[in-house]
Amino acid sequence: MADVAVFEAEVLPQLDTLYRVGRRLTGETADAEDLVQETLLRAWRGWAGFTQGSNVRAWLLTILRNTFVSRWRSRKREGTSISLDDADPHAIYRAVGSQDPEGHFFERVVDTQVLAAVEGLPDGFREALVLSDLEGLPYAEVAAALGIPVGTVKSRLFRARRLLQTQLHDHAVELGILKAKP
Amino acid sequence: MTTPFDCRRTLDELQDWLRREVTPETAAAVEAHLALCAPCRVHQEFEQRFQVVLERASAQECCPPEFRERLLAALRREAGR
Repeated sequence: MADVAVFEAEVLPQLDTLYRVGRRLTGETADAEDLVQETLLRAWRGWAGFTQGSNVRAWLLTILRNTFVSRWRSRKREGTSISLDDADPHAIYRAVGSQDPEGHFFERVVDTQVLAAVEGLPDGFREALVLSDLEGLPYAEVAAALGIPVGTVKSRLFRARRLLQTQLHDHAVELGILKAKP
Repeated sequence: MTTPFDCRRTLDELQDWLRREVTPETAAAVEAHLALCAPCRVHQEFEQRFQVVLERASAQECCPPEFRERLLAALRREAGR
C-alpha cells in the first residue's frame, strides 16, 4: 500500500489541472469527473512504467487526452472544419481599430463567456489552446500530450487564438461594449 | 548581432514572445523593436490582455473537494484489489 501513497503524492498536486482540462475538453462537469477518474485509474495501472523524476504533469495529461480521444471525442461532434489558412492573424486587432486598440474589451467579457467560447472551439484547436494558453504548458509539452509536432501545435494555436478573438469580439459587440465594424 | 526586426517580423513573433517561447536572440530583437515602435507596443498590449484574460478565466476553477474524495476512494478500491 506504500505504493499508492507515493502515487498520490505525485499525482494529487496535478488534480486541479486535470480537472480544468477535463472540464474544457468535455464541456460538462459529469463527463469531466468521469474523464479525470478514468485517467487516474489508468495512470495507477501504468504507474510501474512511469519514470520517477520525469514530468508527471505531461504524463498525466497524455493519459487524459488519450482517454478523452478514445472515450469521448468519437461520440461528440467533430469540430466543424474551418478554413483559416490565409487568415490575417491580426484581423481582430484591425477590426477593433481605434475604438479599443489596447484590447480592454477582453477584460469586460465575463469568465464564463470566455470559457464557453473556448469550449465551442473545434477539438484539435481547443486541446492545444487549453493546454497552452489556459494551463501555461510549454509548446513542447503540449506537443507531447497531443502526439503532434511542435510546428502543428503552433499552427493550431494560431488558428485557435484567432477564432477565439473573433468570438470574444463578436460577443463584445452584442453586449454593446464595442461598436460593430462599419 | 541579429538583423533588427521590422513591424511585421515583430508581430509574427509576438505570440511566441509573450509566452516566452522564443530564443534569447529573437526576444532581444522583439524587445528592441518594441522599445522604439509605439504602434507595435499598443498591439502588444492588445495581445497580452487577451492572454491574461484566458489565464484568468480558467485559473478560478479547481477540483471540487467532494469529487476529490470520491476519486481517492475509487483509487484506493482499485489499489486494494
